[in-house]
Amino acid sequence: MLGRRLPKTEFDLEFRKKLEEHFHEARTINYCFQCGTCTGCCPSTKITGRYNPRLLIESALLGLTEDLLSSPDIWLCVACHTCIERCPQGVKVSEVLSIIRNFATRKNNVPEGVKAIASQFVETGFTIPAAAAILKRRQEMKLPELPKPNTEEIMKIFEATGFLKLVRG
Amino acid sequence: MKYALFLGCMIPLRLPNLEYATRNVLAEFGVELVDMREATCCPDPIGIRNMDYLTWLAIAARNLAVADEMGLDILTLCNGCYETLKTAYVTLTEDAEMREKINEILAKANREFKGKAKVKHLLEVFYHDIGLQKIREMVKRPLEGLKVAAHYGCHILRPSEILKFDDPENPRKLDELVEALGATPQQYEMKTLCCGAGLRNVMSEYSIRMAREKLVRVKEAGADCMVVACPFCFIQYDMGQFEIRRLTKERFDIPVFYFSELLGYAIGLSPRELGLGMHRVKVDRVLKKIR
Repeated sequence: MLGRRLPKTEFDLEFRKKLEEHFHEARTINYCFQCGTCTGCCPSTKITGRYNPRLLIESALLGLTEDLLSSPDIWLCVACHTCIERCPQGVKVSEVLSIIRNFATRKNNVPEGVKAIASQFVETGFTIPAAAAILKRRQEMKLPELPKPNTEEIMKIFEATGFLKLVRG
Repeated sequence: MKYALFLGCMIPLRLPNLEYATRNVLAEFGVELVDMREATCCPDPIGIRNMDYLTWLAIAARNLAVADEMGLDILTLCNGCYETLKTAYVTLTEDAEMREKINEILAKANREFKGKAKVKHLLEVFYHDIGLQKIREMVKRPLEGLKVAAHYGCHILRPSEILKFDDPENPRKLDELVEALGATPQQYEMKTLCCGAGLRNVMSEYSIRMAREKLVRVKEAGADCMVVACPFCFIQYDMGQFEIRRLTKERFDIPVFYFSELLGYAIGLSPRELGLGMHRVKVDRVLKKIR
């Protein structure tokens, strides 16, 4: 048979538009010409050997969302934003990839460690619990009391954005 | 000079010694701080932003609104808080549609982002508001002979289009601050490399390996110590040295200072007034080097 067989996968051709609806600057990925500068300068690529921002952007452009949004590797970014500085096409690479992780989160693809931080945040307004040893140290140093935000007030914001559902599932 | 102090999470809840040193040093410069008692986490520009951009922006906007009500500019002691709050400030100032959307959410909490309070990092306050000249005048114990490798951290530099603090590829301001203390800024390879903190909650081994990359270069260059401007970078390089030792058996013994500590020592505060005893990698040896 002549010609290549297409892979058995769904192409979400609207995916780049969905990204843009969440984050205006996501439209910059349309300028990507796949040069690989982002991957070349990425410290996570170097350390992990399996994080590849160029490929992730390509998947987003092609709408290969099934693999993209279920991959645990998309979480290996350190958010150093070197790719944004170096991209010759002005693509907001790391910021767009962060929005892609928003979509992965909705498919329950979130590392446990990240979920734990979010749970702590929702509960107290801070991502780190107040350990007794630290509170004692603060007292010894006569530091002022810790901030005490109104958690009910913050809960109203979480309810409005739908964050509680994301965290508690 | 008077600021609304935004503490964030890492400094008050893990490294109160950095808060202590910073408060003591700023008092010496006559800087007045009003704590933002109603502030929350900035929120975290990596984990929380990765889960939901809108929540991240809305909570950041709420923190900015708290400062608006206080009528003061914000001082942050952490690169992460700086990136979050400044990015939110710039986004909501420039994007009217997003501002409206966020203010609709904030209205449910009786808050409003007005965009009056500006966001400043501690290094900006030292470099721009206090200035190198004033710092030089205050130095009583010049750090002569001390070779200091400056680590800026990512979220004070990039995205530079938003943060506009310094040249993202060849930053100079922290080196100039180090020089103002009488120390020698030590140049080294991969100066703008990330500390790796962003991977700590995802895959800690990668995070530790990234911290190691820089420590190798700092050691090779012959620096006596490192100076950082962010509590996350501080943990990566201070506590991180013990984690690297467990992983690769390498030993670096490079003391790490938060900038306020180094400045505080140079203006004559005692190690006790700076909480220097709470570092994991002991700093005594390096302080003895100073004449």
